[in-house]
Amino acid sequence: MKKVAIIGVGLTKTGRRNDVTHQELVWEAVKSALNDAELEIDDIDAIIYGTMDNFDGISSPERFDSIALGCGRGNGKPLMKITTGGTTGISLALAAYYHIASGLYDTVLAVGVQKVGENVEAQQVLNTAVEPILEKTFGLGAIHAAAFQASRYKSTYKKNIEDYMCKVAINNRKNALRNPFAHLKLNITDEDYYSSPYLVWPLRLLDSCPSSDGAVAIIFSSSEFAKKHSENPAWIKGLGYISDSYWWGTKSIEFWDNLAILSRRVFRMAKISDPLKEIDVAELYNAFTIQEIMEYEAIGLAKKGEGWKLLEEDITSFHGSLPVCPSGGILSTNPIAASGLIRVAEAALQVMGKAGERQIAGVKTAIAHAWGGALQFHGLMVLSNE
Amino acid sequence: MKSINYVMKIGIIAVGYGDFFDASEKEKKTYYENSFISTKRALQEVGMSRSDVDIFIEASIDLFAGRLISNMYTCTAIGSYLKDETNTAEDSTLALIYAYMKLKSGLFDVAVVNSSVGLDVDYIYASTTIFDPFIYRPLSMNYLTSLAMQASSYKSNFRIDEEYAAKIVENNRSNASKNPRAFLKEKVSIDEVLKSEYIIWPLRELMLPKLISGSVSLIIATEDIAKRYNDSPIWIEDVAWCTDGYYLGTKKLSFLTPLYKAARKVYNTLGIENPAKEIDLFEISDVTPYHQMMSYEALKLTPIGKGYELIDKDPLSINLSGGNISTYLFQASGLFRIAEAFLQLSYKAGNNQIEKAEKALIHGFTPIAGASTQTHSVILLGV
Repeated sequence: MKKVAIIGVGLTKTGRRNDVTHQELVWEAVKSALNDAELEIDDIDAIIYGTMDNFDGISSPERFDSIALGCGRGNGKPLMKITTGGTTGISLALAAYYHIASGLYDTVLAVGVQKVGENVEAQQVLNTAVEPILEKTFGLGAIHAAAFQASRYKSTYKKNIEDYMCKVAINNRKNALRNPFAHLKLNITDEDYYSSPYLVWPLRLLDSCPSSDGAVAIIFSSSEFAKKHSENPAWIKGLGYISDSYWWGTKSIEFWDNLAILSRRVFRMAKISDPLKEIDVAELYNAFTIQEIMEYEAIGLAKKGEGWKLLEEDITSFHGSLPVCPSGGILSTNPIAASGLIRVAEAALQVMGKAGERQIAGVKTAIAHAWGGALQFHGLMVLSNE
Repeated sequence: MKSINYVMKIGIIAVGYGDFFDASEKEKKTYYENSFISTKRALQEVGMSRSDVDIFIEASIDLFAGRLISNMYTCTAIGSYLKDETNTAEDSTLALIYAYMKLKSGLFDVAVVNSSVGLDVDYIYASTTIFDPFIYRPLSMNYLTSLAMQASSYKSNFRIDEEYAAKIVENNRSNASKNPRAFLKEKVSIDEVLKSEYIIWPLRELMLPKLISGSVSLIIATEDIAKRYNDSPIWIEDVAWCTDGYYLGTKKLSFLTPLYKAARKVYNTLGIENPAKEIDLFEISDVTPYHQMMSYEALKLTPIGKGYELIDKDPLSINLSGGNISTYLFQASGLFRIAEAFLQLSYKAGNNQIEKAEKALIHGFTPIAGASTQTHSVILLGV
């Protein structure tokens, strides 16, 4: 496996970013990543860009944003746009790896951006993704899909799973208090959780992610370039993507088996045999609390139906042996197409020892994950400081 | 010392077309049904099944598919169930380029590349939403008005007679009349083109490609695998692409700089000094006939402003497929041109087969923003 490194990370403030245009938001992330790597835009060979247009109020904003990506200086650059729904962000990271591992490029800038605040209601936009004849008319969106998972999990494995979903909600919001780039900074209690309204039973408002504006940029490079330009890069040790059927009836709902299959493939590549012991930080795509618990099980941190035990033993909290989402996760910040790339950025910052107040001590190996589509896509990346 | 991956050859081993139809067709297929059909046909061509394929890449632009996350449907249709898959929202030449890079990384051996296009959306109207809400959108800019501005800039800058644009249409449609796979097979004359209505000056009705629905799939593989399935794979010798800036006023409209840059990279890598002599056939994006002339110049087939000279001489095999003007599949057009070049180099083109064809250059263009931010790509194929 060819060595590829992350040498620069740029995050923007998130939330409602009415203070900037789409272009300005992109440039904020790009400039920050370039500063972090001590490079200029002309040092970048190629660009990978992702957004899910329908949330932005501008279609194909890469056209508008091209000038914030260094393409408008009379020079032009190779720019490729990738769109895969919720996995878009991690799809960008995977594409950056392949751009470099192919031998075509030395430095690649991956940029994910979304201004969800530009549309009236994200769930109505999401409803345009589902099957138009049967499912669309029911108003199906991401919350309903996660509610199917929660109710099936509840009836199959754990009747009081809400008690553990509550803990996931609190852990992530507390973690976000340490993250200057997080959108929601909520110091919530059990009481707050149980008094928050149901959105789709059994999911409450505090079980759910926000709609955020935000961008992220990451500079990937060949090992030769990284050795010359970075003292402490994050190395990609394993990566992969899995695509499952669209149709709900063909998939397991209470256990994320497609993620389990992908995790085994990626961990084989990264030579990880005991993920609970060998991974130091996990940045998981926890758009809804139940999903973080299901992800524990799918990636092999807990047995099927026993993910909640990690919460009971405080293993995945900030001071636990395997902190999950010290950034606050998707539950605190969700600029949709950028979110998967933010997971990679946060994992890289942990490995590079540059995560500031949210830094976990002694991180050697971190993973980044994202899911998308009709619970059908997953991307996974393993990063290491060696 | 460079890794062995750098020298690994990647070849195209099969192509498959879905059903092509226009808005008058009553028995329409969804774009993902057509993805299934074209991929199945490509796999059958070389006796493969989906289990022989490692990765799947689509080119689908949600805005024009009319669905958010449009690859949610096509992914299963092309066989990526529980496999590695992704989607590029660009002209489909970039999907092939991405598949090429993934195989070059050494982690995979066989890729399916697919692009499907449907007719569920008004493309002109949809493209207005691409333009920024401050300056261009209030001017009702869409990809066609933007391309027309570029065509008019080129036409006035170099004093290009309209007859040359009409002649290009005549040539492309004449080529299509010999191509069994082209959608519009009727010839048109220069007079007919020049008598057709202006849609948006200087573009007349018969100069503008008419969108049809269809799907194209390609299978590419690393060298040893490719040779097991096809005695004569067509090798991807090099790829390049380039995207420029957004604002029309900040760039020279009469020259396709990103195409020039992409071509220059490929020529330099392969040591091509005289492309007109060293390359046997060209499949060029004739999104308008003026853009085909401009492409000649960016590809260094003629001096700048002299693209018309190639029309009179026409010593080169250009757009044997019939071009966009005969078979316009929007973002899937890039794969159509690659597939047609593959068939020519494989000596399987049928009625329109030319005698000597060892190298082909395919030009791709993401047309969604017209002359604003343009992405041009160049793929060089060889036997």
